[in-house]
Amino acid sequence: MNRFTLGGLLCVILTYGVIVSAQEVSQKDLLDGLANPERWLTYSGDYNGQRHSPLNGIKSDNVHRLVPRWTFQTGVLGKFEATPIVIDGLVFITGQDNHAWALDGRTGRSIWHYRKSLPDVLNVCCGSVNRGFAIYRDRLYMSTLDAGLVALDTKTGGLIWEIDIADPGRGYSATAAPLVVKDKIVVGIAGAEYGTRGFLDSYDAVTGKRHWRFWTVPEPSEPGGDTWEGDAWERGGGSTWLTGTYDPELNLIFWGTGNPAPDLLGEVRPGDNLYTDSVVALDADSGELSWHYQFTPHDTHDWDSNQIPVLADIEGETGKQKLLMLANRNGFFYTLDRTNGELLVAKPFVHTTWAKKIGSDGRPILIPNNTPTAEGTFTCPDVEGATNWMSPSFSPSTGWFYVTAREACATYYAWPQEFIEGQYYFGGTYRPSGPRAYSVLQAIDPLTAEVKWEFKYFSASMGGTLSTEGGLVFGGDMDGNVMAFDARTGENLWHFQTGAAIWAAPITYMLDGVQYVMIPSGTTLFAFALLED
Amino acid sequence: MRQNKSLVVLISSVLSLVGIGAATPQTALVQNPMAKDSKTLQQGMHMYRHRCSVCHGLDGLGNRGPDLKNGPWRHGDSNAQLFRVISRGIPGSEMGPARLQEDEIWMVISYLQSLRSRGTRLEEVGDPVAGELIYWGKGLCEQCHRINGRGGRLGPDLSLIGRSRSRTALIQSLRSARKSTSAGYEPITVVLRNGQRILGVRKNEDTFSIQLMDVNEELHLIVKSDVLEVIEEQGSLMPDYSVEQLTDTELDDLLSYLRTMGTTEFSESSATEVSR
Repeated sequence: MNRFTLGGLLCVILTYGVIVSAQEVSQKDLLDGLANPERWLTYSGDYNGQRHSPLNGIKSDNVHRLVPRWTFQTGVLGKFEATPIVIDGLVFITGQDNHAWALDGRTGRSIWHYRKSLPDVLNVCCGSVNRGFAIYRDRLYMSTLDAGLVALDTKTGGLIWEIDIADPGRGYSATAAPLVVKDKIVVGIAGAEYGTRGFLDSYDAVTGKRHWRFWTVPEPSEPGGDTWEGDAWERGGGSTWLTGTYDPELNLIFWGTGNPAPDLLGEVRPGDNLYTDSVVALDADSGELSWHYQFTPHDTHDWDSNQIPVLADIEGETGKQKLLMLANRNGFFYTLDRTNGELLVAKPFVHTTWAKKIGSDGRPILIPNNTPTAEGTFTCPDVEGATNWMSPSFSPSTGWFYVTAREACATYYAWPQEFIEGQYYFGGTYRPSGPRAYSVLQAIDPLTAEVKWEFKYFSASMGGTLSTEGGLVFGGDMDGNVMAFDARTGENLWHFQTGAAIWAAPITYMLDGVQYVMIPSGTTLFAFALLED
Repeated sequence: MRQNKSLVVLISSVLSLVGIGAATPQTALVQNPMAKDSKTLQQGMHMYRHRCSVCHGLDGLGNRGPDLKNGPWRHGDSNAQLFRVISRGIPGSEMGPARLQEDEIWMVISYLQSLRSRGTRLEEVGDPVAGELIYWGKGLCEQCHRINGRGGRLGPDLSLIGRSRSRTALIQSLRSARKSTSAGYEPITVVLRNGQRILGVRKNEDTFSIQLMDVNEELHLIVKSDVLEVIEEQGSLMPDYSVEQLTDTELDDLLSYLRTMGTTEFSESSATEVSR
């Protein structure tokens, strides 16, 4: 190709297209997070998990003009729970069954498609889902359903390396978006419903070599090991199937842990069963435990505590407080001091029948007769919980925490079950019971745990939230509505019926001067923007 | 379990080749790859209780779904037919595909076969001809329910109900009708901002709209901004049938009639059609 031809080609490109700059994502980019509004670089947008954007182009007086700008059809059935990564006009999104795509953020057109094949037999409890990529330098990182981790080339989707995190034959799987912290890929695991022993791993971003592993269920000789009896710890659960958060100042990673196994049969695992249903604070470099707080000691209702631990620094009576906020599946909202795990406040945010309150020692004060039995025991919340994987958000402007809460109850049954490696190990079952279940979008003051406002959804829903400096909160419901609310009053300002249940949380970003709001629904990724005049 | 994987894969391949559910010599040879031992049965029971018992009962005696212990298995009892029914559901019925892996399905099949071996075949009771007269006459069933294209539309179509519900569930839904409602038929009253009140059954509803059929079978499509209140009525619009209104003998006759209804027998040929 001579210089003239090359020059002409470049001219055409510059005239008629957009060259995507090949910027690599640095640690500083990740630390800056949503300060660059053209990007959404981690599962929650920022390390602090606030899922709050500084963008304010879409606001209360124009949100009614929000319309779909483009859609992308994955063609893959199942629960579409992923959060996209957005950088420099590119959208990277994962889907069910180990699928992933790169899209043109302006048009939704696919650039590449990746899929890792699955074993013929794979036991996963709750759908073949994936919740998103992590990005670092020129690579994307994706946990895979068969308990693996892959590194892909951002430009081609080509496989750079892949590793096994754990043995899927034993019931392990992986569904969470990894978190990049200082050249390391931190990734969790799922599989407590199969009697696995949970852990959190850190891998070298370049080589895929494991750096550290934190077992969420300690051995008998380790601290916390005395909260188990016999060999129950070996199959004790404590999965880490959602993405945690990171405080660079404290150099601590905060990660929620899941239920003990078997889920509903507590008699075979006497004790508190640490560190299940907890948030653990780990040294980012060593993976060593700094502190833990257990929300539901000796859980018998499958109330995983994997919910996003949201971090914020808030001015209180004693000066600036470094807080960790978590709306828990067990029905209580908690605010902790994240420097030491001390409980500051906890109150129920939905109807709960299992605990009177959280005592001054941080332990729930139990209400009798809530343990599942062969005959059935009625308890609120239900198994899916007061909230679940749907991300909450926190607005520094209002100072409030926004969460999709579920009002639902169940009858829980438990019966003996022999443990068989790789097989479902639930120890009972459950039935929806009581009044018809529904959801409410809530604003909660984290300093008092008081609900400031709530908006009722018709159906119990699993869509997460996004808040913005436009004074808005976005959410989605099980009936297919994407909605926008006034962050201060809870007034519904806009809704759009997508036609399928929302299982994910929205994000927002700027591109070519246009603010987009993006959310998966059904088999479709929707990109909304204001209708142009 | 991992030692069984290759066998499961082989079975899966065989099933896909022959079209599972078809009445062919090949499918008749399909074997359950799971070991016939207590572990398989126990695990099958746990999977059954977790995934199937909502409709078929914890003890398999039926509820919204048929009695699997004592009742007939109308959609086949071969390994291939059972695998198909569990993995794909029954088209046109409330039974969808079970969220189970292949080896789990085989364990459930082992358990169901064990359960059935301990069951007692139910005796057919009642006179279907007398039951037909009750349905279309004194029972007033046809005012709200259709059978094979005839009758009202406010309540569920009953063409297949006699085959898809257990006898216990049907008796309960007649004797204690007001306690039982199903999705798409919940009674509600919508109060509009203009004062109009509409009594009917909810066909669908979300946060912003509601669709209902009123008692005159008129469909109403309403946005919530026009609604003052949605009142969820306590219990079904259908009255309880006491023994004074319907004797036990008449009840048997009516159920016998309902059991004879239905035109979509899940035959071997229809199973083949669906598999394509």
